[in-house]
Amino acid sequence: MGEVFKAQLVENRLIVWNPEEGRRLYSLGYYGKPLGISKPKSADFNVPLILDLLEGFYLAEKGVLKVYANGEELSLTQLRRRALKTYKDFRLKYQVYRDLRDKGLIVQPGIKFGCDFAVYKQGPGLDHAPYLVQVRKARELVDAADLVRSGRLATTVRKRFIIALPKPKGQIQYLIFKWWKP
Amino acid sequence: MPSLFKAKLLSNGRIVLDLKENPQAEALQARGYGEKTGEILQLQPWEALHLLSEETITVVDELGETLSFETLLERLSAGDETLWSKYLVFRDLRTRGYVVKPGFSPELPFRVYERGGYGREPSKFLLLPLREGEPLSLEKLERALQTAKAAKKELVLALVERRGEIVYYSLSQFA
Repeated sequence: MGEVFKAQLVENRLIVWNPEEGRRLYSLGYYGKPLGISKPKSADFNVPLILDLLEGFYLAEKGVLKVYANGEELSLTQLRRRALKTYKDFRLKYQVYRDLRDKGLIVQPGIKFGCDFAVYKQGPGLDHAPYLVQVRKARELVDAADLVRSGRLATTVRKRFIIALPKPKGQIQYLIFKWWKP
Repeated sequence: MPSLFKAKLLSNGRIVLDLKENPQAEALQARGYGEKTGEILQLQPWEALHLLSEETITVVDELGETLSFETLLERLSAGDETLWSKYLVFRDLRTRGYVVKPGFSPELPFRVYERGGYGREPSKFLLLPLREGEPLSLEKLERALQTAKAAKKELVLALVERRGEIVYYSLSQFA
């Protein structure tokens, strides 16, 4: 890798203004979304690249991204503080995001599927469909309707969904649900 | 199986078949029903309900009174308030050709054999029934998954809807 990219913090998003840089960053693993292009076919866009705080923080932590606000570089601590303030359950969600990325998976926002992450092995548009991941807390209670709802949602896309349970010690338990026809 | 076997509901809630009185009832055991001790085949409550509804057995109590399905259900439910849901899951799997034996704990009441696998290989699935509306902590679900994994079985969640429809999910972990 080697290259360090520059992004500006705007509200709770990070913007890579230079399209050339943005294209290279995007190509590293589908990081960010080109402004105004909802389903990019390739990395040949010529617009700024928008990163969310999860991927931005991940890249910053890896030393691949430097984040600026008001002309000054933000430290990781400052960026984390900002994320914790503007992103609900950032700590838990980031723990899962990082773990999935570190496993070599492509992690995209899952909001349009009603979950936290849509996870691909190859990439959006390349995989047949994503795995849908919800981040939950271990002491959370679920009931049958809750699970069927998630299942129905996932089965319209792929035949399984995943609940990620981040543990205090840092490891993450993944519960993979697959519709079972007896 | 046309012959009607006579089972007895004892005052301690157990349902037993005397194999001396019902010599052909051994066939039930071969089909995966009951636990044989000496000349006695003891049936699980859900097995008794299922066999009674299929008219394979009749059940009398210790006073010699023949029990209807409703009466048997009522009497057995006194010792297990989730018996009805368990019976529904048991019946559903049984009628689809699975042999269902008792599981490891009240939370994991069934182990299930692959179709045609009973007597030839260990059971393949461990079932966790969850009734609609009943809360389950994810921690508990995770523990059930560990139990299943340690036993080299697949954990299957049976979601029992309030009118008895069942949706199944198998659970696994990331490798």
